[in-house]
Formats: sequence, C-alpha cells, structure tokens
Amino acid sequence: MNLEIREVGKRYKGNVWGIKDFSLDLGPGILGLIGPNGAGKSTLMRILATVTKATTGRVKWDGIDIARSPNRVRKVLGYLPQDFGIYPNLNAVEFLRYLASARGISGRSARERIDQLLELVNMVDARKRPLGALSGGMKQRVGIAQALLNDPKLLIVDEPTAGLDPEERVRFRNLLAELSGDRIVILSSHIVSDVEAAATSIAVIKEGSLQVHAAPEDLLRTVEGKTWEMTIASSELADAKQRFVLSGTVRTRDGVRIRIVADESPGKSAAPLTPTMEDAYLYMLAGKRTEAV
Amino acid sequence: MQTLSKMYQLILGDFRERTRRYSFLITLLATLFFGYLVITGKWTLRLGEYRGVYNSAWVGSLMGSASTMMLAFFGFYLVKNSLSRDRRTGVGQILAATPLSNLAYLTSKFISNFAVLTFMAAVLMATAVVMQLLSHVEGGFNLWALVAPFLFVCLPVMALVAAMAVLFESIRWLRGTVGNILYIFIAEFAFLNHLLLENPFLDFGGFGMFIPSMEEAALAAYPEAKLGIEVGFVGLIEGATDGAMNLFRWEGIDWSLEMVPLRLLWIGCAICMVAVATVSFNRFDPARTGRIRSRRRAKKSLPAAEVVSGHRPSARSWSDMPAVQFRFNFLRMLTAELRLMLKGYHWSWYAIAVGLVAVQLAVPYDYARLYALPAAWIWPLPIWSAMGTREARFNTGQLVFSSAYPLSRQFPAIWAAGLTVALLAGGGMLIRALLVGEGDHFKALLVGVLFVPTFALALGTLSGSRKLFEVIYLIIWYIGPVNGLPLLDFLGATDAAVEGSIPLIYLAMSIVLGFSAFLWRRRLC
Ligand SMILES: Nc1ncnc2c1ncn2[C@@H]1O[C@H](COP(=O)(O)OP(=O)(O)OP(=O)(O)O)[C@@H](O)[C@H]1O
Ligand SMILES: [Mg+2]
Repeated sequence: MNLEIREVGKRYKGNVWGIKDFSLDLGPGILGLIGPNGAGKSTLMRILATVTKATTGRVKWDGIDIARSPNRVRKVLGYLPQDFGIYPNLNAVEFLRYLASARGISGRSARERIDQLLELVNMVDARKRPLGALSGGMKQRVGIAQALLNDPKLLIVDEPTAGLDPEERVRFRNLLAELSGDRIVILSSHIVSDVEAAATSIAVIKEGSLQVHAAPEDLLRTVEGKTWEMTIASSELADAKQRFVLSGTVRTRDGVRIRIVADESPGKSAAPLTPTMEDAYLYMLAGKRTEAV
Repeated sequence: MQTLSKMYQLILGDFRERTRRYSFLITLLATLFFGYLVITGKWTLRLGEYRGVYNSAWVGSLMGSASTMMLAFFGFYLVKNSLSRDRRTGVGQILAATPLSNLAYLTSKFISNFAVLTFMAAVLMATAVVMQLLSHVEGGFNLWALVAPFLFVCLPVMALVAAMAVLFESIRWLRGTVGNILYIFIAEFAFLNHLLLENPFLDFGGFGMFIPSMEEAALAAYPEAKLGIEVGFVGLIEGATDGAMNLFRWEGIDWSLEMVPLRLLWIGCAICMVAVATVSFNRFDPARTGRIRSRRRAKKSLPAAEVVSGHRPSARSWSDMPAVQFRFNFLRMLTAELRLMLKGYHWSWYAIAVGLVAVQLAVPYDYARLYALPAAWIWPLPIWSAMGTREARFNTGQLVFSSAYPLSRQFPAIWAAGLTVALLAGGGMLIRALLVGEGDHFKALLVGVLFVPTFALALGTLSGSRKLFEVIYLIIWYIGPVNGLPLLDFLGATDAAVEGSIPLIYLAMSIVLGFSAFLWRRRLC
C-alpha cells in the first residue's frame, strides 16, 4: 500500500497555483499536513481524494494513476472535506445510509457500521434529528463518521477537529490512534498540537510547496539547541519580531519574556530551552530549510 | 448618509457578483438572440394581415413591448435569487448582525434587481438602435422614437418585476417552486389578457397605447381592412407567413409628459411591495426559516431537559467495528434517492399528490386525459427540478463524487427515482388507458414519463440550479398539455399530438437529453 505524489501542481483560474511541484511518498501511517492558511493543504487533499484533477504531475495509488482510474482509489477512500454540506431534511442515520449505498456497502453491513460509528463519534442521542437542526460541531462529527463508513485504506481528513469542543477533540485523537495500522491517514491542520500527538510523520507546506517531510523526532531535532528565552523591554519587541522567529511572548513585570528560535544565541541574557514542535514548525515556516532531514 | 453609502456598497457588490457569473453571460446571449429575432421579424406584432414597415417608431415600440414582456417573464427568474444567495452563503447572517435596517437591505436588493433588468433592457434597446443605424431606414433614423418606449413602458414594469422578486423571496412559501409557478400565472394574466388593455393602469406591455394608433394608420392606408391583433413568435401564430403581409406606415405615438404620472404610480407600487416585504422578511434567522420538518416531533421524543450534545464516554472502540462488506445494490440506491427526493414536504403536499392521481381514476376518461392528467403533472415539479442539482445546492459534491463509480451507480438512481415519480404522477391515467385499450394514449404517456425526468435531469445537471427547468417546464406544460398546442404536448393529452407522432419527437429528445445529462455529469465526477 503506497501513495506516490509526483510533481503535482494545481492551477486555479487567474493563474493562481494552489500547489506547485509537490512530491511525496507515503506508506502506512499517519501524515500530519500542516501549513498556514492558503498554503495549499486542501488543494492537495482534493486532488488525492479525486475530487479535482491536478494540472501537472501524477498521483499513484499502488502504482495506478488516480486521475486515470479514480474508482480504484475511491473504493478504499474515506474523505472528510474542509467544508461540506449535508441534506438538511435527512437525519444522521439516513444520510449515512445514503452515502453507504452510494459506496456500495451491503445493507446489513451498513446498518451495523452506522450504529457503531454514531456511537464512536458520540452522536447516538442526536441520530434521529434532521441534520439541518444540528450544531456545527455535530455536523462535523457526522462528517467524520461518513469518512469511516467503508473502513478506508486511505483516509483523508481536512481539518477534522475544526469546530469540535476540547472533549471531542480528545475523542477524535484517540480514535485516530486506534485507526492507524494498515492504512494511510492524511490529516491536515494549521495547529501543530492537533497533529503532533498522532502523526507518524509531518509535512510542512507553505505557499504551495513542501518545506519538509520528516518524522516528528527528526523535526524536533532541527531546532535542538536553537530555542532560547530572554526578557526584553516592551519597546524592543517590535525590533525583536523583525530580527528573530518568535514562538511565544509573555508579558511580565520586567518587560516581555520572549521565546526565540534562532541558529545562534540571540544575546547574552538568552537561556536555552527544550524545543517543541511548535518551535520547529515556525522555524520551518520562516524559511530555514534544513538539509539535515 | 451612512446608510446610503452602505446601501450603495451592497448594491454594487450584488451587481458585480451577479454580472460575473457564467449564467449572466448565457442570459445576455439569449437576450441578444431575442433582440435579433425581433429585429428580423421572427417575433412580430401584426394587426391581422397588416403590419407597419420597420421604421424607427415601429421598431422602437415593437422592441419596447417585446423586451418588456420577455424580461417580465424571464427576468424575474433571473433576479429572484439574491436573498437566497445571501442565505445560502451565510452573508445574510453577517449582514443581519449589522445595524442595517430591513428596509435598507431590501431596498438595496430591489435596486440591484432593477439594475440587472435595466441592463438587459438596455442591451435590447441598443440592439434596436444599432440595427437601425446600420440599415437603411424608411423615413430616417429617429432616436427618440426608439428610446421612448424603453423609458416609458419597459423601465416602470422592470421596477415592478424587481420589487416582486424581492417580495417573493421574503415570503417563505413563495420562495421556492410555489412562487415560481404562481408568478408565471401572474405574468401571463398581466400580459396576455386583452381586457387589461382597456385600462391604461394595467396596460403593462404598452399595447393599449400603441395598437389604437396603429389601427388608425392601418385603416388610413387600407380603408377596407379587417384588423386583428397577434403578438408573438411567427411560428406560433397560425396563418399567413410574413410575405403575405400588407404594409403601412406608422409614425408612432406622441410621447408626452402626461404619461409620466401613471408610470410613477407603478414605481410607487413597486416601492410599496418592497415595504410590504419588510414585514415578512425574517432577517435570515435560521430558527424562523421553517425549512426543517419533523424537528418538533424529534425534540418531543427526547427527555425534556436533556442536552443533546451531552458528553458520554463512548463505550465503543474502533476494534469492535464489524468488518465492512461491499455489495452494490441498485434497488437500495434507488430507495435512498427516492427518500432524499420525497422527504421534507408538508403532509398536505403528499395528500394532494395522492388526490391528483385518484382524480385520474375517478372522472370520465376524456376528462381524466384532458384535465386531470395535466393538473397532476405540475405537482411534482419541485421534485423533478431538484434532480441533478442537489450536490451543487447542498455542497455535498465532494462527498458524493469521491464515492466509487458515481456515474454508473448514483447517477442512474437519480434518473430512475425521477422516473418513478413520473410513473406515479401519471399512474392513474396509464391504468385507465390500458383498461380502455387506448394503446396509443398509453404509449404517448409513457414517453412523457420518460421525457420529463430526463429533461429535468439534463437541465439540472447543466445549470446546477432548479430554476432553469422550472421556468421552461412551466411554459411548455402550460402551452402544451394545458392549452393543447400539439407540438408541446409531451403527455399526449390531445389527439392531435398523438396522431401527429409528437411522442416520437419526445422519445428522440429524451434519448438525446439523457445522453447529454450523462456527459455533463461526467464533467463533475
Ligand atoms: N476554487 C479555487 N479557485 C481559485 N483559487 C483557489 C481555489 N481554492 C483554493 N484556491 C487558492 O489556492 C491556494 C491554496 O488554497 P487551499 O484552500 O488549498 O489552502 P489551505 O492550505 O487549505 O488553507 P486553509 O488553512 O485556509 O484551509 C490559495 O491561494 C487559494 O486562494
Ligand atoms: Mg484548507
């Protein structure tokens, strides 16, 4: 089972490239795709989910071009788009039944799985309410359930935790951890902490191109010995923002305590810190591509 | 002052959003084509076998009336989407949270509707002016004679249409198909009713002004003439071809300021309609849209104080999940499609639907065929018109089209579901025809059963919106099965249609349309 993304590019109307020259090889595991707004995460995921066609390049699922024979991958695909609609007059069970029959799941199997999936995403109480009357987070949970209907080998979830409350976020993270195994999961977010717990590898994407693809530990290693803390006067803050990659600021009585990611010690008063994934992400975004990984 | 500038921004934004749509371009081309038909005499006004030469006065008045009629019929559907767009995109809720008043909001919508309609009318008028400039015109080019009908006849009616669209969109039950059907009847009554011509206030197309003066001119040229009145496409008017016409010169009517107060009255009516709309406008409050049925019932079934989103640790884990088994079953897909199609109507809707089929069985055969059958075929309009548009309307395309084989599984199910509804709608009559042994009636109706859902699916897939099918279907349904024009009688409700092999034409069309629908759908998948 592998997914091969080769020099994929997508041009939108008006000569805007959503992603450009994107290459990545994936095997079983959970890939966390992180990047700022407009980086091209959703564009890439839509291509992988066969919803849009790439303008350039190829994507191969087990060696077969997905643009040429999309149904091959669709059979094993679970996809949660970033923004999707529901049919307001159907309830969760009816909606999932509809999608299950479109995906060719046998009647009995669909019934059993829908029951259990709704328990899994904690939607049992609201299962008979019309979807149009559900809250945003509840709709999102129905979306998660539909992506898991066919026990996908390739699961693509675009900002799955958007709109979920903290408890549901935890539930989803646990679910994700259980899911791993013999499948490829691709999960996007612009929040590092959402991704870092579950992901077996992390890809940082910026302005449509891949900055880095590495295991979380390797990513952390790139900022080892490069994270510092120091206290400066408030008036110096603007200047510090210009000069360093700041990954945190806290106001204190003496001024501002800042957290800096930098190759060299930023000053005499700076004390080294243990790096976090957030530091590594910001460091990557700042454009410091490291050959080490 | 601030309100005015806000309104200006709203109008501008709205107008830009609309004119940048692909559908606007299509409408513009269709409008130009219609202008061309008028100029070249394919759409005509004639007094029996007499008509005026195409000088500026005649062309101006003809174009003025024709564009008024055309835009009143179709322009309404073009502009009746601006509130629903705001509702769908959520922009409405954003605006609702600003201090902008309902009146200011609806007035902006009214003005932007009016701007779009005026733009279309201006295009038609410009076509007339350009064509007159390019060709040799008898009696010389007269700009005022070309432009005045546009100012005095067309624009005031456009104000009424623009306001009507706002009003219909603000009233819940007029927002959808019901409103679309009702409007066709209003427009038809307003324009095609000769009685109204006598009353200048109700003379929307301006015929009441032009025709007496034209008749005078015709009688001056042909004192013996027997005059009549016919307006419309040449092909649809029975009788002589254009060659057999007797021509006369008509210099137009005197456009005077006396006409202004009456037109202002119409604009006043339009403003009143907008004011009335503010009463029923719900400011995009989703709790008051009433879209979702069975909500109350569902709530009742829950313990009173329970919060539905209440957290519970889920007992399940993924490892308990039964293995998935794949076996595609077309019948199950069809049932799912039918459920999706038929859910969400008020119980009275289903009751009337059943009633309409029962009537086909109860009344004498000829009545059933001529009246009950056509009546039953307007009722499922909202169901058919939704075919092929659902993914676009509800933004579920990404979910549906990323399922395996959407073209060979889900698409045929949509079509078959529409066909099932058509079979039900004509069911009573089909049984009757079989029992009586009228094989031809049976076959003709079967073609109708095939044609309507296929047509709906094709137009829905093409446009992604219900309105295109609704408007076209309403017109052919009204002229064909209801009024008995054989060419448009897709149900074979008239003998002329059945004997004239009209069903064969519709059969061929169904095949072509079905194939096109498939190709259009393929683009999406
Ligand atoms: N349908 C579209 N038409 C035109 N441009 C688009 C379209 N969709 C995305 N883009 C452009 O492509 C780029 C990438 O967008 P994309 O939605 O993939 O970003 P993203 O990483 O998912 O962002 P976010 O975190 O906000 O979801 C953006 O510059 C965006 O403007
Ligand atoms: Mg996105």
